[in-house]
Amino acid sequence: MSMPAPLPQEDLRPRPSFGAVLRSAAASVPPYLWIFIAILLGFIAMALFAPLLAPNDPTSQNLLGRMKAPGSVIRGVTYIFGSDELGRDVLSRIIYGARASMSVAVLSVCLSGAIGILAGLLAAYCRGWVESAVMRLVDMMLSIPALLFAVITVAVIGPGFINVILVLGLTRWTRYARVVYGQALGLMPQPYVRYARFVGTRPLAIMCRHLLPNVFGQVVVVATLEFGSMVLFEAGLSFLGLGVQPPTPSWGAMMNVGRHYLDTAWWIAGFPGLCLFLLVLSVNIIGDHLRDRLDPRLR
Amino acid sequence: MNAHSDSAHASPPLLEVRHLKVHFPVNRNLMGRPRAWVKAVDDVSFSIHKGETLSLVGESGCGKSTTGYALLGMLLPTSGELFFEGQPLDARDSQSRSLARRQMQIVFQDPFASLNPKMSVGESIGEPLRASGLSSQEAALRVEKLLDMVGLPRSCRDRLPNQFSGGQRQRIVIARALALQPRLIICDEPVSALDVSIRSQILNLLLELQRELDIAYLFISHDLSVVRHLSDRVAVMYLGHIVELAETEELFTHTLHPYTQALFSAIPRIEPGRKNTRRLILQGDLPSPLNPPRGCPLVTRCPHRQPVCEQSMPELQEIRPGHSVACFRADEWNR
Repeated sequence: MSMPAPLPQEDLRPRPSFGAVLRSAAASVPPYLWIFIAILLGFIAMALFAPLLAPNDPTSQNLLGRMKAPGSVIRGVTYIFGSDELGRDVLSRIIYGARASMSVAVLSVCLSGAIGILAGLLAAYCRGWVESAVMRLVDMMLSIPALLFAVITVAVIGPGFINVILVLGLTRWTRYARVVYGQALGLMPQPYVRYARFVGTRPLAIMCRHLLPNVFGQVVVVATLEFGSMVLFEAGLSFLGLGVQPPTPSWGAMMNVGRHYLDTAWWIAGFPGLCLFLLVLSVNIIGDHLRDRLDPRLR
Repeated sequence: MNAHSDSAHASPPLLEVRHLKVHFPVNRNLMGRPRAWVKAVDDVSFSIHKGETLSLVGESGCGKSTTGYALLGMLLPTSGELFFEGQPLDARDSQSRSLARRQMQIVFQDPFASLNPKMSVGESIGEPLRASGLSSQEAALRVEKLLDMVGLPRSCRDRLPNQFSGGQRQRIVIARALALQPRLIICDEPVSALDVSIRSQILNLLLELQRELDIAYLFISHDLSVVRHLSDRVAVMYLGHIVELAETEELFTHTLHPYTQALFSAIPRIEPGRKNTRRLILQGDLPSPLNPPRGCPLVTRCPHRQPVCEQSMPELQEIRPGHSVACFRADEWNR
């Protein structure tokens, strides 16, 4: 057949290079945010490279050097953040404790995110009884205080790293489900989704290729904010003795022990608390920024 | 242009629509039973022949697009029958649906919402191919040919829709509609969202493709000059009914139905020295399709209404050769 004259190449808008995309994204980050990004990256590095960064063994006890103030030097070992009630180095324990906080938070965010995305997509795609069942379950879960539920469940199935992740994952998926459901429901009447259904694209392919990529920005925002809550939940469970078990260091457990010595050795609970505060604060501020950037309704 | 109408009755039409009704339930009661229905399409019959362009015109909300979606099975018709080359189509039957989507395709109005913003152009065009069981390599080869056919460079394949203008996107959507080599494409206002300067390019592309590939179009539009330019026949819809159906020039020169007259008299004419004397303005507003008038749908607004118009619905009757009108006084207008 006779072809229509092809459009000249320059009629197409040029494709921005990956570097250009990255540069324009970086340029839109307000200066103050870099501080929080740096803090978050610092904590991530702490968790990843704990053995390299920690000046001492986090579990080795020194009963003669108990509850020494920050900066003390005992037998040639400097305790920058002081030592705890068993003479362990608080700084090293904080560095190793970042591992527990981060890994529990990352894994439970992944688990709850996966459950929530699946539930939300199914509810929006299938409608009918699936929609009612999923969304009523979400309402039910939201009416139960999450920490109370987590405490009871962990108390029943026993504390420990895996159990904490499971419990957090299974209680905190509801926010993802709601966000994904709402967004996907709005996408369903879009012509491209209707077309995909018309040509017989399989439901799973429609959910993965059409719906999920277009709601993923929102999911990332929720995941960032959830990450902060997960760190707090882990600390809370560990504080109550239901989280990561000793002698593995954990910020929550350190604060629990440290609270007995607040008047004599504030640094045992003070420094883990400060780290928790800084980590959650940076994650939430970054999450808020992402939401402002990614949510078209707020533009 | 009108070559099809003469030979049309020899073989079964490409698509025949008989008594199509699409009613939407609204205002359900406590038990979930609808208390009222919106009769978006109410008893519509027409046929489309091989390689012809039939236009559906009418104001917004008259059921043009709903008709198109119901033909494709994207909406379930409440009742009525569809025949593709004499074969019955049933939107509830999966085999019949797969026949429907191989033979009939759609080009949507909004070129921005028609393409998944997160999917490359190649993936979008290849979607109907993959859904019909082609391997990704076969689909990729076919996508290149399709891009050639709509006049886009092959390098577009890996780009995302946001790098294209509205007209270019509509070319992509047309390429996607062509992928399964359909016999009929439903064009749901394909150019009304485009810049005026781009419209003629897209319309010419559609005409060119029709000539080369012998595709029939159901062209849904409210732009009468576009309709006159490219249709073989035109059906005028009002409140879910077809009120007049004729070949294009016949309809524009011998307009019979009062609604069509009012619609056409709204076309601005630029003829120096000639005053636009036949401007016909309907009284009142479009009645709610929730509560349509008894009898003729136009009865509330028609300047020529008679008592009979309020009693029953006029049938679509052939008044002149190939020219059907649903009006009790059609014979009077024909004199």
